[in-house]
Amino acid sequence: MLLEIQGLGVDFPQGGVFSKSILQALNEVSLTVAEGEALALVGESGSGKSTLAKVVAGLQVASRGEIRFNDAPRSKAARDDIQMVFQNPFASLNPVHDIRHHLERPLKLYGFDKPGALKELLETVGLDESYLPRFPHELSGGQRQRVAIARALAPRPKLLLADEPTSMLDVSSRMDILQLLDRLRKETGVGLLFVTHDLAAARWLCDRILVLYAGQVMEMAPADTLLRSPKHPYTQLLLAAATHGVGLDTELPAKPGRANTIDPTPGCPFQNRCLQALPACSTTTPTLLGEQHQVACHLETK
Amino acid sequence: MSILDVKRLSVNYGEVRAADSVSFSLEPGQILGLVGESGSGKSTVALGMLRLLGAPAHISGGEVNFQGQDILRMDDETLRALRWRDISVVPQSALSALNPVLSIGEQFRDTLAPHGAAHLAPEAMERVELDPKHLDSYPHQLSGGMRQRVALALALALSPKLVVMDEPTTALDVVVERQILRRVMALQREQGFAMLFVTHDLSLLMDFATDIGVMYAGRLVELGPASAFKAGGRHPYTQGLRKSIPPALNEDREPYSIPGAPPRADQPPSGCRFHPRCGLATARCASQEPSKDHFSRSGQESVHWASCWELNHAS
Repeated sequence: MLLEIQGLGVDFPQGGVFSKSILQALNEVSLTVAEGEALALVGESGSGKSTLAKVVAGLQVASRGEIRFNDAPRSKAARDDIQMVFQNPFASLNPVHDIRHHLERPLKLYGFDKPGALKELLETVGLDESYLPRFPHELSGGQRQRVAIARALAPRPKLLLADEPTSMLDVSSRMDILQLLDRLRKETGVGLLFVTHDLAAARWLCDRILVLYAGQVMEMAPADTLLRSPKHPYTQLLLAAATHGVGLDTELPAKPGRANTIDPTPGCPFQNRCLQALPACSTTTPTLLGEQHQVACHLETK
Repeated sequence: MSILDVKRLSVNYGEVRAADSVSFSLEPGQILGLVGESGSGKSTVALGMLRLLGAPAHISGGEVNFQGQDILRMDDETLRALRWRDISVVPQSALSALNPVLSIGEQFRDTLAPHGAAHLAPEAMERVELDPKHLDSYPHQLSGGMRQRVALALALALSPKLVVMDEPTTALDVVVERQILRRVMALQREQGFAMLFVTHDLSLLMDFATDIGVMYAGRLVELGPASAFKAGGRHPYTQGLRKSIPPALNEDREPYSIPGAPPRADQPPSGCRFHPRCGLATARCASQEPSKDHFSRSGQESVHWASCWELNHAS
């Protein structure tokens, strides 16, 4: 297995030096990504999806759990095989350097700077050599994101972490980038961890979708299954909110409120907003059950 | 009578024309969605028409008639009296619009006291489903959704006749966005204000706008009732935008993106500004600016138009 995460947890200390308070950003997260597979991490801001991507990239230390890469504990060296594409291509490229600098550097650093490598790299992302002398500000958002993807591909990674790579782009170029990522994983077999809040994009690009809420996995299933027959009330809420063309008259299936992630007590993090909550929901944290379609909800075992 | 009548409004940033001869009008109770990509000039129009843009932006032409008076030629005192009371704005990022060192209550006082209505603050908070106890809070103590509600409460406190919303929910999660929009539309039905809603999200507009205007490279290229856009729209750019929305959750179709990228504002293409990206473009599209093609009228007023030579040709 390319990436295998078991029981991952991340706590951020809260308050002063003597405070024992913690913010639980992630808890008991387990997932796998196979070679050439695309897994979507879907959730609202604060759900822990970006923290999860950072832990996988080695930019954030985990408090608990195990991360295995290529069937071995993830080593420092494995980080070269894991590259990241960031949300904002306006901030992730250096404005004082041209495109050549952005792409030549990683090729040199990783020893892939053979003649023609640069041209090949550009072609992989649908650009050509005419872009080399240009500066980031001369490119559109979509073109910048292509450069950012090319840079991430330069070390020939086995796993690409894409943190909301299309959310800053205009609609007319969004699908372009999704299609590019799709082609890359099919052609090169690179695994893809796609962090997004856009369910439609997740369904289009990814094999499976994992729904995070308050740092915990609520549901994980093949993309079509998850969106056609969502089992968790939180997934149902996300889906209802993302459905357009039905007007605004339909009530959202949840109470307003927020999950408590500071010193959380046992129980389902969604129980204070759930319309179907059972007594057990506020006392026992539901476990993720199922094979292909996994759900963490007491309603499933009632 | 229209509450707002914008005629051939042009706005420049220095030499660069960001909005070029944009015209539209708003009736009381109408919700006009102005949609476009970044750089299309949609926010420039919405904020420029209220004289809210500072240098280097300047109005380079046109009229903005609000209840029969031209906002662009109004003296500062008259305009100041109109703001908040008759016309208000909900900005994209409430975090940068609210003053971080003043409590929410103080910001309400700043806004409402000059209109003699400081006592309306608690009621305004309740209207957007916020507990008035948050009047004592500071912006950083509130979530993004709550801050956006505060901005909304400020804008609606004096029951204005026109509310301009500049991407008010873009920075929010879908669930919070839905909740806030539902509240906005309920208040709109109650109070009957006209609304100009600026967004890049055409699918969102289909849920509540009565009318939609599409901007491309500084120009309004299509304007009509929302129903016409649900059916697909007429202008090739509008149709491209519609198709670029990722396939809906229950829809099986191939994804689409408009080829090419929007032009730079300082180098707009000749003729129809969309012609370099348009599959239907002919030589005429590159040389002459297309005229408006009207699809339906009510009396003298055009209800739905698009500016495209090929549509003219077809009809």
